Amino acid sequence: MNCIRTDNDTDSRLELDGALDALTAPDIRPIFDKVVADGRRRVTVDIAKVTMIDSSGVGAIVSLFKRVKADGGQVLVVGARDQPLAVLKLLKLDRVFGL
Amino acid sequence: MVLLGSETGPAVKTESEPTKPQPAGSDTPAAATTCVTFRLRASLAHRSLAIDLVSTLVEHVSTADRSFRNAITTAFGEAFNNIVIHAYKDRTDGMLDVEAELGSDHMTLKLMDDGVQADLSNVDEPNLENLPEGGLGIFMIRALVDEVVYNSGSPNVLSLTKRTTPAQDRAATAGAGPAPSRESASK
Repeated sequence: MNCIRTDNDTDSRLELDGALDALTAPDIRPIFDKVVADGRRRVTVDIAKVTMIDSSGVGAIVSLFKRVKADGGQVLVVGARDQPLAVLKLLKLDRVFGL
Repeated sequence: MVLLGSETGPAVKTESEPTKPQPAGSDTPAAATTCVTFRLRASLAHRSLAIDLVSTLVEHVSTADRSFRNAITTAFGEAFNNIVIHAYKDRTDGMLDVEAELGSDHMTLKLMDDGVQADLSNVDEPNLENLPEGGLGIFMIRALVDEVVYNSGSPNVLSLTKRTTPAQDRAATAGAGPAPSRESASK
């Protein structure tokens, strides 16, 4: 799992690549934590290259979403398809994340 | 580590069940099933490999589509997580045995572990409106497969059955949420 962060003004874009699961989520969480600590106002999480997501991966994104939102910001998830999209729909997160 | 022939036996074993004899006068042949077993160390480092194996086996369920593959591999992954994280908590020597029964219209995965038994009946349904960050694994398993059976013991056996959906049913249920799964448990 790779995560590339790109900042533009108050916005951040996180491009994830690979499986976001119980093995890799702990490695991604510190990157999410930094985004929250930096007070980014608008965060876009691009999961077009995420091949598989599990409940741990979903938990990491939900945690980011809730913390950014609590600070008055916004998180959008884009690019979901195939298995990750099916999981987000199952958990009724597609609308929450603006998919 | 996947065991490739050792004191524990071969890692992958395949058996085809003979077609059962049909009652007199029956014109419908019984569907043959194939049983495949594999064993690997219960470690998150092997999660991806285990899922890849299950995904490969789905190719032998002739009526399975992408939705079926996504559902059974996702449910299996959550079950795998639970065994590694909970059943084998604080252990690194745990092994996972998987028995897959493959039919033309279904797949049953039996996950067997020797860790701490689970209590699936005591897992609360998550309130999705509250955006929970955890406790979703069992919910996902129940939602994604048609039947969940758990028997605690030595070993603990979690059985997940997913059936394919006829094309006409898929069209009728397109966009609908997951059907509730049947679930049973015994000790």
